[in-house]
Amino acid sequence: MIILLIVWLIFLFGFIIFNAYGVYRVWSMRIKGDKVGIVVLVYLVALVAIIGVSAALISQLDWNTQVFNLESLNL
Amino acid sequence: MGEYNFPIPGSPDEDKIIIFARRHWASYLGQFFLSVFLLVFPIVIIAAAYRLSSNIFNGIALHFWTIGLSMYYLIVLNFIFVAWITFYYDVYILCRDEIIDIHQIGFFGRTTTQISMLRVQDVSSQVKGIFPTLFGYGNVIVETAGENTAGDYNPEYLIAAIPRPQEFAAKVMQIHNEVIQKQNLDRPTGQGEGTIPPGSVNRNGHNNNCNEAPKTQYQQMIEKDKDEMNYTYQSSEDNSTTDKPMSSSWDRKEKANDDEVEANALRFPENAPENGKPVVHDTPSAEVQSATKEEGEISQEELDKGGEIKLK
Repeated sequence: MIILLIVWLIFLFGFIIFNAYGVYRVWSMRIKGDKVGIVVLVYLVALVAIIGVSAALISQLDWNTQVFNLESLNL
Repeated sequence: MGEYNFPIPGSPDEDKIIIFARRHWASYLGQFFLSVFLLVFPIVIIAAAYRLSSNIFNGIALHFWTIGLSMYYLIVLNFIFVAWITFYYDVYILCRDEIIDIHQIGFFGRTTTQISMLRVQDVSSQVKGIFPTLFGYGNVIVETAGENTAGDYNPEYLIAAIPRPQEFAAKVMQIHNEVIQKQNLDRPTGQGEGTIPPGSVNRNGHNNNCNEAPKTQYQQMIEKDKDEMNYTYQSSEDNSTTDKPMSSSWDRKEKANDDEVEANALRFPENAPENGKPVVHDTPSAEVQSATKEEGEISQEELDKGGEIKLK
């Protein structure tokens, strides 16, 4: 299960870099009087909220569990 | 704003902008509803699955749900933001001498088209569908002279989902006509091969431009008829009392002088011309003055005497 966590962390790292550059591009092409400032703020707040909730839930889970342990599946 | 090299709101040459328009918000409704669906859909699925079986979040499954939903909502949020940027930065700027069309494609794609007013030939607006008619937005098609993209002959530019397209199209044509008039491009004949510049043909019909083809027999006949008609018209306007037709302005002036002398002789018989010689007086005699003096009028004699002049 630790592999899943690593995949998620790599995805998060790439996602943050992609969005950082995207927000920089959007900020550089602003026009006077547009609403990009508010929208970018809302977007960043939403991103932080999702990442924060995910991190909170992930921290509560036991990632040392084996994936192919059939007993832990409780089917 | 540093990456724009044309007039935009907030730039130093902002006063050149006549209309600054974005795509109408109603054109974003489809993507908005899709975004809402993508946000709400997993929650509905999970709720329905939990009602069927409450074991879906037990054990290792919760790890997959957590990671999966986290990645899903981050991607959807990014999709919504990119879609909004693509909508919001579709901008149309109408300036005095050009039309600027900025088409944004995601974070990293943009197409900027600048159409010179001189290239504009025709502008049409269209409003098609229920929502465009209801919300008052539509397309404007600008037809130009020339190519749209390199190597591709497509002279039409589409300005999509613009608010009040009829107003925009009318404004484009108005500015286009002003530019054409300002640059004196609305002459009926132009300079170029095969055309005859005004003033290049003299009165004898000879063409000063050696490249012009000689006149045909029919053209010569038409010109000859025109000359004859003009001569006949002038002759019919002549005064019937004179034998000689008055074809020149000098003849007319001479006759006007004779008429004036005759009229003077009738008014002042003592001044009738003798032996046909006209008599010119600067001022009428004193007797004439007193005879024609009106009430309140001051005569020359009184003026010469000087003294106090009584006014009524």
